[in-house]
Amino acid sequence: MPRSIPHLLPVLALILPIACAAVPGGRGVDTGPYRDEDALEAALRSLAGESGGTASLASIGVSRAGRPIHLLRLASQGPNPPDERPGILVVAGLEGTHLLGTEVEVEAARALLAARGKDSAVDRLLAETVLYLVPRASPDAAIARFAKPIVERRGNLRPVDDDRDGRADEDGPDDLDGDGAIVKMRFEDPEGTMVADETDSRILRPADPLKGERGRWKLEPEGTDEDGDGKTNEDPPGDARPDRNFPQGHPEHESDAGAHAASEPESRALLEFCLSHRNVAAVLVYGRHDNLVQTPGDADAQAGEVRGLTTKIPKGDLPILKEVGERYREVTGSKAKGEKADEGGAFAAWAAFQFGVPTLAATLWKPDLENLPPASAPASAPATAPASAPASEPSGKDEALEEDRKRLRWNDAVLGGSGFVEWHEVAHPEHGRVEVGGWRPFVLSNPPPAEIRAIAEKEARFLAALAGFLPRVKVSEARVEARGGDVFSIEAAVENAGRFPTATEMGRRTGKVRPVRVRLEIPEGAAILAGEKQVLVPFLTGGGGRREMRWIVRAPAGSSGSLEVSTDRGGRDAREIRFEERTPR
Amino acid sequence: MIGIPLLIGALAGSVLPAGAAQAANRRRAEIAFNRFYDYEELIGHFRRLHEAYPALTRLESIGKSHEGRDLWILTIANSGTGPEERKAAMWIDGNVHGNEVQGGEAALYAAWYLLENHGRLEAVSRLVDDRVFYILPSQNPDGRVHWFAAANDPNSSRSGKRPLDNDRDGVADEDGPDDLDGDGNLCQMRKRVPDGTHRLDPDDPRVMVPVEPGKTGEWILLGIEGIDNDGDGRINEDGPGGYDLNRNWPSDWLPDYVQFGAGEYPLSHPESRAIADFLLAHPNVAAVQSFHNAGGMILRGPGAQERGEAYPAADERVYDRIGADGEFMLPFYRYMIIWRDLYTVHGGFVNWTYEGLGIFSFTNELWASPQYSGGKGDLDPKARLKWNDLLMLGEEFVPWHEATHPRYGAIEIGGMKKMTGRVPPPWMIEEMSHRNAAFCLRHADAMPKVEVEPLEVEPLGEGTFGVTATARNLGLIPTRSGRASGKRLGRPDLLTIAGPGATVVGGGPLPERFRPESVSLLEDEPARLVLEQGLGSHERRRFRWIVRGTGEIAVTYDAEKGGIATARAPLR
Repeated sequence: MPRSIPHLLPVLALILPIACAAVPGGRGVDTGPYRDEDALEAALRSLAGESGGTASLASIGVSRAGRPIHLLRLASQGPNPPDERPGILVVAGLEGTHLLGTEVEVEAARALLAARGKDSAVDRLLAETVLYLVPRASPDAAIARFAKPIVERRGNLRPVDDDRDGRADEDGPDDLDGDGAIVKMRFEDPEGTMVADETDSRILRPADPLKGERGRWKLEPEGTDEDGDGKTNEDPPGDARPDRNFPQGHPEHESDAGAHAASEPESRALLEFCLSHRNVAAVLVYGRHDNLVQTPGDADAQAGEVRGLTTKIPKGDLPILKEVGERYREVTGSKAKGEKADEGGAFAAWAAFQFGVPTLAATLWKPDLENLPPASAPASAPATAPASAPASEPSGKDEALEEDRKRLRWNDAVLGGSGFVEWHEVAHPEHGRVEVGGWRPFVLSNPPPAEIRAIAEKEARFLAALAGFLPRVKVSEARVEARGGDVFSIEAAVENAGRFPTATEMGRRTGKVRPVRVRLEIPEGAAILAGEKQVLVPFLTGGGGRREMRWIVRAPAGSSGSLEVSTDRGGRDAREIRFEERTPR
Repeated sequence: MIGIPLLIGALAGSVLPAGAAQAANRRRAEIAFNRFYDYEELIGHFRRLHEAYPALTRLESIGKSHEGRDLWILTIANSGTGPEERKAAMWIDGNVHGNEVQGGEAALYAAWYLLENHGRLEAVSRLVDDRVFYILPSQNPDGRVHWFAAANDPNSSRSGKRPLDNDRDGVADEDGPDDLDGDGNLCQMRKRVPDGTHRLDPDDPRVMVPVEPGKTGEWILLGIEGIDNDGDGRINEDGPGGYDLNRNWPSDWLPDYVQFGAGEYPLSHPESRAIADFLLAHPNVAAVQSFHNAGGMILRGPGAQERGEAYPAADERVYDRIGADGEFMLPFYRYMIIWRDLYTVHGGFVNWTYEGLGIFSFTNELWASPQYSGGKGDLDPKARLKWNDLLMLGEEFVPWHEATHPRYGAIEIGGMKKMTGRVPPPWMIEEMSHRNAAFCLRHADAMPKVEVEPLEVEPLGEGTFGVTATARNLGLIPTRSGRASGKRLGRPDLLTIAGPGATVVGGGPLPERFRPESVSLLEDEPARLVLEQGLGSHERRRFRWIVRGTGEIAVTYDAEKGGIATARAPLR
C-alpha cells in the first residue's frame, strides 16, 4: 500500500471538488465552508447518494439536545462484509471549538470516493477495509459557531451550575457591541491586576509589582452580571464536554466532565458504536490531542509490568505509534502540534487503554507562527500603542506572552487583522464604559477556509496509508494428505499479512480482542480423530506472524470441508479442503 | 422482637373497618415471611400493599431489565403532610445478585412494616409522615427469576442475563451447567477412581473428606453438574451472563481487566442505568440501604484502599454511629469497611451512592452461618448435615446417586441444594427481615431535617431592624455530607430572607452568637445565601441581616436532602 501513495497524490489533487466557496471579501472572518448542522447533513447525504453504494450514511445516536450524530461508512464490494473487515474509525468534532476536523473528514471522504477506479491503493483500501467516519461527534457544541452571537463552547447543553449558586446556566455571555461575536472586555478598575503589554498594547498581561508596576485593567469575557452575584458570565449555557466524559481517567465531579463517566449521550453513542464494532482496528481522532506530529517517546511508555489500570502505552506498542507517526509526518508534512494526549476522560484515552486499539490523534492545523514577517505596527492598532517595537528587552520572558505577541503578528500579516477585534469603547450597565475586543471565536483553532482543501487532501492520503497497516489474516497453507482408509492428515497455517498485530499488547491486556479463531469444518459423515474443532490463537504478530496446526480426520473420500480463520480486528478468510484418495508414495 | 406480636395478627385474617376501634393486632395486608417468593410473587405482594394503602403508596416501573422485566419500585410517602420531593427519602433495594434473594423479602418486610404500623406506632408514623421511602425489591429481576425457575446452586445466577462470551471463543453463553439428573438442582459430580483426592467420612459417608498428602482416596470431585455443550473439550466454561451488576457503577469504576464483571462502561446495563437515572432525578434521597447475602455484615465504603480520601472524618463519625447501632440490632453482623474487612470492590453501588451522590449508604450481607447454631460457632460439614436431618427433615441435601456422564462415564451426583448456605432456612426469614428493616428505620430516622427557629427581630430605629435567624438540622446526618460539599455534589443549601415591604441592606452568617457585630457581610446577594457545607450533624447556625421596611419578614432554609423550613416574624 505505501508504495502506491505517490500515485495517489496527483489523483487526489485533481478530484478534490471542495466547496471551498468564495471567501467573501472585506472585513470579518468569513464562515466559508464551515458547515452548520443542515449543511453538514446535506453534504454527507450527497456524498452517500452519489457514491454508488460505497458510502452509506447512518446515525450512531443523538446529542443531548436531540441532534443526530452522523456516521459515514466507506466500503466498496469486497470478499468480506464491511463490518467484518478491519476498520478505521475517524472521529472529529468531539470538542465544539475544533470545526476543522469535521470539514477534513467530509472532504477526505470526497477525495477517496473520487479516487476510486483511478488509484488501485484506494480501491484496495475500500474493498479490503472499512472506514467509519464520525465527522461531528458533539453537534450541540459545534452549533455555537453558527448561532448569534458566535461563542466558543466546548461541550453540550447539559445544564450545569458552574458557579455553585443553586442556579444553572443563568449568567452567560452577552454581545455588548452587537457585532455578533463574543470576545473579551476590559475596563479600568482599582482592583485591576493587568497592564497593557509594551510590545503590543492589544495584549493585557499581569502587572509585575517588583518592577514597580501597578495593575490597571480587569479582563473579563464580554458580558454582564445577569444574576447580580458580582461575577460576569460565570455560568453560561451547558456544558458537559463529551471528550472529558469517557471512563478512562474521568475527572469525576469537575463541572465540565458530566454527571459521571459515560453520562452524556454523545460519549455513550461512541462507546456503543465501538463495542458493537469489534472490527475497528485503529482509531484516529481529529481535535485537541496530537500523538502523530509529536510521537510518544520511551518516557511516555509503561516500563515493566503493570498491575491495575494501565495509563501509559505498553512498551510493546510504542513502535507502532512511532512508525505510524513517522508515516503521518512524511505523508502530510503537518507541523500542527496539539495537546499531548492525556487521560482526562478523553475518547482517545478510552480507545487506547480500554478498547485497546492503536489510537492516533491529530490537531491538523495551528497558526504558523514560525514564518512570520518581521514585526511592524499593525495598521489598525489603537493610537495608544507604541509605534513599533522589536522591544530590546521584553519584560515578559514568559513563553505564553511571547506566543500571544506572535499570534497577533500572524493575525496582522496573514489574516489582515480580521481575527482580532480591536479594542473599542462600549457602554456597560455595571461598569459604565468598557472596551470590547480580543480574538474572534474559533479563529485560533480553525484555519482560514482556503487552507482546508490542502489539509484534507493530505489527511486522505494518510488514511490510505494507515489502512495498509491494519492486520489481515488469511489461511496461508492447507495441505491434506491421505493416510489410507479414509484417514487424512491436515497441515495448515494461518498468518497475518498486515503490519499491526491482530491484537496489540494493550488489546491483549484489556481482553477486548478475542483470540484468532481457526475452525475446521468437516463434511457429513466425517470425524476429527485428533485435534481441536476450533483452535484459539491468542494473537498473530504483524508482518506474516504465523501459526501452524494439525489434524487427523476420517472423511469420505472425495468429500470436502473448509478451514476458516476469523478475528475481531484482522478480518476473516477461508479455504476449501478436499479429501481426495491418492496412492501413497 | 417487635415483629412477633404482629404475626399473631396474621391468623385473624379478615379485613378491618377503619377507625379507632381497629383491633391492634389486625392487618390490612397479610404476608407470610416464612418462605421465599419468586419475582412475580414478590411483586404481587408489593401490589397488594399498594392496593391496601393507595393513599400512602405508589407502585411504578422505573425501567426494564435486559430480558424486559419491569423494575418495580414502591414509594411510601404521605402526600397529606407535604410534597414528596421536599422530604428526605430513604432508598432500600435488594437482590442485585440474582441468587442473593432474601434482600427482596427484607425489602418487602420493610414496606409492610412501615405501612402496617403507620398510625399505630408513633415512631413509625413520624417516619411515614415526615420521610419518603423508595423500595426496589430486586435490582436484578432476570437473575432472580432464573434462580427460582431453573436448576441452580447457591452461587449461580448471580449475574444478569445479558449474554457474555466468557471463554472468548466467539460464542456467548453456549456452555453452562446442566441438570443431568433432571431433579431441578445443580449439585456436585463425583467419580470413583483408583487415585482419588477424596474419601468418604466413615461416620457419615455423605461427607467428602480430602485425603492427606501422600495418601490416595477413592473419589475425585468433578465440579458442578454439566457437560461439554459446545464440544470444545471444556465443561461449564461459558454459562448464562457472567458479569457483576454491582461493579457497573460510576465511582471508581475500572474496566473488566482490572475489576472482574465491571461491564463495558459505567451504567452500561439497563438495570443499573435505570436505577441511576432514578436516583439522579431524586436528589432528596438522603440514605441508601442495599441488601445482599451473606456473611452477616453491615458494609460501607470505601471499596478500595486508594479511595480512603473520599470519606471525610465527619462523615465517618456519622457512619460509625449508625454502624454501631446496627451491630446492636443485628447479632452475628459486623460493621465493616468494604476494602479493609472484606475485599476490594471497584464500581460498587453503595460506593457510587456515597462517593458520587453524597448519600450515606450501607450494604448489608444478610444471614451469617453461625446463626445455624444460634451462636455456638460454625457447624462442621457433618454437623451441618445432622442439622439438615433434624431441623430441615433432610430437605437441603440431595443424596449421592448414580448417573452416566458423556465424558466421565459412571459418576455420582449429590450435595447441597441452592436454598442453603447463603440464605436462611425459611423459618428464619422473618427475624432476619425484621432486624434488617428496623436497621433501615434507624438509618432513616437519622436523615437530616431542617427547621428555622423563631426569628429574633431587633428594632434599630427609624424602620431599621436587625433580624437574626437560627437554622437547625434535627438529624444525625448532615444536610450536605462532607463528601457532597467537598466534591460539590448536588445543589448547595439555600437560605433566603424576604418580605413584601422589606429591603435587605446587608447581612450574612453570624459566627459569634453574642456579638451581632461579628456578622460577616456578603458583598453580593445578602438576601440569598448559598451554603455549600449545609448544616452538619445536629448543627445550629446563625445568620443576621440589617433590614429596612415594614410588614412580615420570612427566612427560609432550603436543603435538597433535608427539606424546606420557613420562620416568619413581623418587623416591629
